[in-house]
Amino acid sequence: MNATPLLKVHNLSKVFPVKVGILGKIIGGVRAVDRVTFDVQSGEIFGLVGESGCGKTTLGRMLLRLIEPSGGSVVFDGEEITAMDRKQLRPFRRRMQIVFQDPFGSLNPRKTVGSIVGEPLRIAGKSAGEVASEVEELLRTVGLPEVSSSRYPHEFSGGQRQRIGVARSLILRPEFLLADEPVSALDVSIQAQILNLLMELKEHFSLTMLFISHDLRVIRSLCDTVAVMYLGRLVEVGPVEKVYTNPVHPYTEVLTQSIPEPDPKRRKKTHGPEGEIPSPSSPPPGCHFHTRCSLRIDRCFEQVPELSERGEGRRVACHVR
Amino acid sequence: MTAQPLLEIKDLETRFMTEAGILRAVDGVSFSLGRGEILGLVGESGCGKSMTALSIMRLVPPPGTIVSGQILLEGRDLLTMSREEIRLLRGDRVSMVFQEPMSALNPVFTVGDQVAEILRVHRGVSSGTAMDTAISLLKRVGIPDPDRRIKEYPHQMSGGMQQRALIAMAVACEPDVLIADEPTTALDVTVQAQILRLIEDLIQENNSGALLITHDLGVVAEITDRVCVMYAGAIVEMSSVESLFEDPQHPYTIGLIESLPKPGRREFKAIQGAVPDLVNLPGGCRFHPRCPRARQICLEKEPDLAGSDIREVRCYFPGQDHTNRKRAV
Repeated sequence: MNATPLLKVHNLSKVFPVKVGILGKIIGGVRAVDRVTFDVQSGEIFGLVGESGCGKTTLGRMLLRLIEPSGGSVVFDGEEITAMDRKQLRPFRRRMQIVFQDPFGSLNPRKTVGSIVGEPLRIAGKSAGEVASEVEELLRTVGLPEVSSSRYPHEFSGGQRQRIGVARSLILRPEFLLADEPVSALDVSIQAQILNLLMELKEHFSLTMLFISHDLRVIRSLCDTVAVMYLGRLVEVGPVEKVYTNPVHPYTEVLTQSIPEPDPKRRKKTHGPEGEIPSPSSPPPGCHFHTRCSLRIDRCFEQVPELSERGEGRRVACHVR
Repeated sequence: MTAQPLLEIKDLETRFMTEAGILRAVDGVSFSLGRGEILGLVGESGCGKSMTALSIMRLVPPPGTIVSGQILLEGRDLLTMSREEIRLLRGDRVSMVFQEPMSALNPVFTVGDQVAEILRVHRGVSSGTAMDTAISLLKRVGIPDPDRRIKEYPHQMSGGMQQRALIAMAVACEPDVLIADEPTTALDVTVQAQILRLIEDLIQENNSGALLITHDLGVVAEITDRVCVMYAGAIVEMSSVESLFEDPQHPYTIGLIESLPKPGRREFKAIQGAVPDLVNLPGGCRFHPRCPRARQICLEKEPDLAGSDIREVRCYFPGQDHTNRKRAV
């Protein structure tokens, strides 16, 4: 792992307007992502974890400019892609790709697998022969039978469909792969197949990956670095084992403690953290977590804690710890 | 087990007549549930765990039918009861919590109305009394500010609160059997812990029994006493939760446990292949096409679920070290 980050994200924000009436008058905004800053080193798997509605998917999509940011910057390989127009962005689209969660909804049912996987190549101007041979080779690499390319998505199981999705995202040989909950829709035994595949492909194609998941166990065994998100903000970032074994932010702590262990001898006696996740459309002031935090002090009610360096590559946003 | 079990399922078969043929969703399932016990039914999608639950509730959707078997609630067979008898039983002695609280609650009635309705129907109490009981039920399941919350509609509540309201409805009549089908799958992990604890407490308090259906082995380990592992419509292993994780016997169970991500190990042990088509089940053992230890006998004849009362397994070559051990056929 070298020291230059492939991806630098600085103060990235997204505010979705809240509209009312038939004229769509804007009456306010939902801050889905709030000034998020992190680096992804070349060659690493960076995990982004958080519960539903925390903004992790919005954040991921902004990195690829599939959702336009409201503020902040994304620098990929030294160039700021947030400032580019569509034409300037095109070569970067090839270098940054995405695997989606839903292997059923993300593949066009009317197209053959060969045409789904080969489409990016045809757009790039390759001949039919070149496309066919590259597609066939890649389908083999992701572990699909040779005859797959003339078949339709419905003829495949969930796990195989996700292999098709992975093949499509890799056909242009990207350097950066965003995997947004790629195994959440799959059964456990199949999940493992796809995770193994992603690990193999990461080595084979020298990929840098951003892996989004709500599954804390998957993140822990897969990623080098993890960023924990709560209601639009990062609360803790650091090397994955350090964060899991010695969480600093109180939210990271309850999150890691809430993972049900597959070991009946280690049953938890805790009832989990108090309270529920507040609605993302009206998050509490100050530290978003203060409503559920057992360590809160007066400052937490008013002042937003900033991520600060805590040594050993760890950054934490907490007034108390 | 000497005394009569609370709930006993015997050779349950539920089938769906599809265009492609007969789909054996539940293919000869037997198990029992005692008072104070939480029994886990674990397996992957399509293994028949939810259909088993719906069969117990006599809620199998068409074109599915229960073709044979017995479902005995303290000795009375639910399958021979009339529709009316079953209707009176549901929500009273046997009740169910579903996975998606938002689709299980009626959006046009307040949460209070929905909890109170159960009490009015099954207990015949007045609306006023029912509302008072509803408030104390919401309080019991951990909904803060229940006096105000009973006037809210489901959409005004978070997923965790909706699930609590659904549990309040399910336990309103203190049922003997609570069936929870993936009750925490739609919830976040910090809320999941709270809900599991709540179910555990309610079962202890009422001395009832629960059937917990889940695909998550973490949830199984966290809350159940005994476990049935299901694969392609049949139980392949039945065991106490401790022995299941300590010394799994069926190759499928072993595969499931090994496929869980382990900290600091970037290697995921997968089970090869995919779940079979339930219309065209493989001959012999239904797991043999994916089984690393399958031999000739496994292709020819399906093994029985055999063993002691406390531990049963459907395999000719069970156990972690199976190489020199073959069970008597």
